[in-house]
Amino acid sequence: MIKYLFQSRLTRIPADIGLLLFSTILVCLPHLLRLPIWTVILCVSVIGWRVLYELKQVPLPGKYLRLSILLGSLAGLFISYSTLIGRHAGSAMLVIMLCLKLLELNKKRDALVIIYISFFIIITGFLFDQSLYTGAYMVLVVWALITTMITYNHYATKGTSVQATIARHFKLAFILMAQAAPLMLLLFFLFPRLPNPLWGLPADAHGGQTGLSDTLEPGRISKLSDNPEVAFRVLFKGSPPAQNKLYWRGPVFTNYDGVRWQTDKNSLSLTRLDLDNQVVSNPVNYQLTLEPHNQRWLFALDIPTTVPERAILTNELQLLNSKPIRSVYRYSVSSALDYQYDMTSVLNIESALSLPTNTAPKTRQFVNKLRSKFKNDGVLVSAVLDHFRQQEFYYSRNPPRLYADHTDEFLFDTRKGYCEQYASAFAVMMRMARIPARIVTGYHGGEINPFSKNLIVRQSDAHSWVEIWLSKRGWLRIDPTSVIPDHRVENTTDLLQRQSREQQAKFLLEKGWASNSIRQLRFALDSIHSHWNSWIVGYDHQRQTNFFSLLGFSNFSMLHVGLLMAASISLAFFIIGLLLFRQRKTIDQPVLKAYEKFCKKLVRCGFEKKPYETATDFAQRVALKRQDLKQDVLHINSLYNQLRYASAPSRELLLNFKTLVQKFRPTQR
Amino acid sequence: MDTRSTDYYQSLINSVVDHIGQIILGKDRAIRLALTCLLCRGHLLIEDLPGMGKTTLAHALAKCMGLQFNRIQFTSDLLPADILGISIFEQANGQFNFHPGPIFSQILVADEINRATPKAQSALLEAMEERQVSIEGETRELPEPFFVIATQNPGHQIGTFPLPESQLDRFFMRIRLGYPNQQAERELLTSQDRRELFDQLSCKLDSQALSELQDAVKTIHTSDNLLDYVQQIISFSREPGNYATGLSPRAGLALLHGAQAWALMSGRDHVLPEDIQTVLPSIVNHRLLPISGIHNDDPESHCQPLLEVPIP
Repeated sequence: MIKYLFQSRLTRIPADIGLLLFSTILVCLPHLLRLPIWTVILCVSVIGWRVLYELKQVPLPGKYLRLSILLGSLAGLFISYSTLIGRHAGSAMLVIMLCLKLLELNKKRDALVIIYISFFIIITGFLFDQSLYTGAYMVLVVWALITTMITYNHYATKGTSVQATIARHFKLAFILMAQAAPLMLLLFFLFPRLPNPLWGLPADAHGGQTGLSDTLEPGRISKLSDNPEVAFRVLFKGSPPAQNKLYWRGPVFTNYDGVRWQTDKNSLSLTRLDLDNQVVSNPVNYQLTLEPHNQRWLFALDIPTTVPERAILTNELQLLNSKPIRSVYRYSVSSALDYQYDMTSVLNIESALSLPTNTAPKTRQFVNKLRSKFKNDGVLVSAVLDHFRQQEFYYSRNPPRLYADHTDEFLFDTRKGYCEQYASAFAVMMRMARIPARIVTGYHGGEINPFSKNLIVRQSDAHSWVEIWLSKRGWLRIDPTSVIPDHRVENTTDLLQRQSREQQAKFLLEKGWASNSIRQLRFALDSIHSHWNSWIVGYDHQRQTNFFSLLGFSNFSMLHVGLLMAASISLAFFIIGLLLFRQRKTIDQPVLKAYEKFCKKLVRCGFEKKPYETATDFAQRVALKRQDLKQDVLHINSLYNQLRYASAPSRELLLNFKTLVQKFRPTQR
Repeated sequence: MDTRSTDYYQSLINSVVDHIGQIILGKDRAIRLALTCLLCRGHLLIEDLPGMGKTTLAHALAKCMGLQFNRIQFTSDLLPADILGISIFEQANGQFNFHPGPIFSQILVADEINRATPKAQSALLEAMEERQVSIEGETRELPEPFFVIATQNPGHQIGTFPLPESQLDRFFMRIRLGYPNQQAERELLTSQDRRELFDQLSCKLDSQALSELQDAVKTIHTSDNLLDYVQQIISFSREPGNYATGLSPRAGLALLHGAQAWALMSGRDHVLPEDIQTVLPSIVNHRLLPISGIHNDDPESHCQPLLEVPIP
């Protein structure tokens, strides 16, 4: 019997183990979605096993089986990731360990270990995703975990149902979190942010980020076309330019090997002087908040005229940051929408003309024929564009796959393509006609959020176009996709893709597909996301400096920040202490007052409490003589004892006590 | 350690009390007080007239705790070596070998402690305080837990050496059994011999369970209001004119600790004034010296004025 009692399973409140399982599942869920399938099966079956044990007493695995599952899963992880460290393997290992711990959950200590590991796993979630949704989900999970912790540390109150107990614990956990929130905010905003991080994230920490890549081959951009993730947000100083001017310049591709376009690794950095020599007008200034894409390039409207800090401008007019963008990055830049730039002095025109030999013989034939007809470069360009416009070329998100020579096959067989096929074919044709040409990728368009006045550019806005060089005119942007008439766009979504957002919304409204309110909601959400990004995820040294200057501390050092933080926290603790001190006083005095009232009422019935008599003795004395008062008197006494002598009596109890005394009306005999 | 609800501890202790109650009839309160003492890791002195069941209670307690126990019958010719042990020269290997005495046990039942001479008494009482013994220049640890349950006859009996106050203070509690009530008396007379029942007594606790209970006692909440009450009792005992000597800080600690154990037994997680009042007599009576110093005064009423200290 002793053995049973002291080594017993956690059966005190049957619900606490349920609560623990519930929060464990919540903790693992976001990780399970990105783990290899075998770990998901393993974790689900381990949790299922524990549930079966709780419900049907199915025996748990023995020591050796547990050990072999552990070793097996470590081996599995090593096979899956070929390492046990790093972001993916590390978090997978933690999740598996957490689930396996459920199989040896015997004592309170084990439960607490599970809860503490869970807190750690929650944090690791931020290595994968830092969005507002993840943040909100994690707050909920923390809430569940704290509730579980409370349940494991509290005794069940007599006569309360399990549901009521758990509901009370949820409420208590909420209050705890609400009390901790000001401290958290204080620490978050005041903790000194260093200009450079103290330690780096694991090398594989940025693998999952989407965006444009440094090679262009068929299918690369169309893959992005149904991805609604935000690529970046722009805040214009002044009114935003017209939609058709919004070409966000990204990576530029000059080298072509017949299938794939690649960026020129040897591109040169421009000097300020080179830029000044160009003819630019119609400048716009704006601030751009870039989502991490794990590449060095920055986006700017065609063409950038200033260079953000720590970045360079290449001779292909591409902005490159000194380091890959791995967290939300904000920079100010200005662009000239009308421009003429030449820059032959710093540009190797030859590389913009080179083609692998024997590329696209049919196309070469076709171009030669055109060239003999039109000597003027400009006329030739319009002729090629006319060819796209007049012949049966289709615009499609899912064009047929190309097998043989990509350019020939596209121009003469399939005639269906997404922007990258058109850009590639057009650039190849230009080079055959000895007109320097290169492909520019980036984004086109964007939509204005009426709440934040931000322009939102999404991954689905990814686009590619061509730049050709004409003598006297310099580099000129040509967007061959734009000449395909609407009726040759394959389906409605593709059509929408091509149209500006304003037209899109009108179109949707006409069709009755989307109401205005949904659109409004989407914009409101995006506005929240934008604030989240700038104030929480992107809260860095720079932001902190701005924040302090907003508060009126313009000239400060990290030491000041530290002191300010320490002072605020001491103040917070002082206030908490004061409140706790007051609580004791404020509970104690009313209790005595109410009890006095209770005693006075009994004096009228002939019962006087002696000063040395304990409240219980007195109550029992009264109860013995007056059966009619017994219930009330004993109840009031038990509340009084709890209020006076139990640890941390609640205010509800006091209220309850006061009303009971109020209602207590003994009849005199 | 696994923390359990006070309900659980209460039921565990109740089962022990019921168990011992089958042997010692109608003495639940004395049994509970004795258990309180053990839960506070204190030593227990049972004082009563011969034939009241002192030894039986001590025996039953030891057996129910599931601890290894020894018993010494104190006599006037008992020597310290009979309690502590002795080194004997063995010819076979030419060395002195230590033979531990009965004190090396988890529960020591010291029967009729006041029949031994002060020399033997102090050998035991020193070991009680230090929880170790020094024999022939070597210090030996006593087992853990170590309890002494001593029984004694009231001081006025023939052939007794009364324990001095300083040594009485080493006992956490002194309890009396008193005569059984009518119903218990009748059952005692009609049922089988107590000694036969003894063999049926099974062990209800083990040392792990006991130490868990002892740890649980310390977690029982004592509110500021209660501490105020305890302090008023202590200062009353020290006011001139009330007692020859007041309560020592050790006595005050014992009072609070005992009340915590009593609260745990009553299934509460906090101490109430009635817990203090319940354990007060057995904890303070053997420590208080009344001003009159008259021996024929009932020592059990020494504490009465303390029980009339107003509760704040």
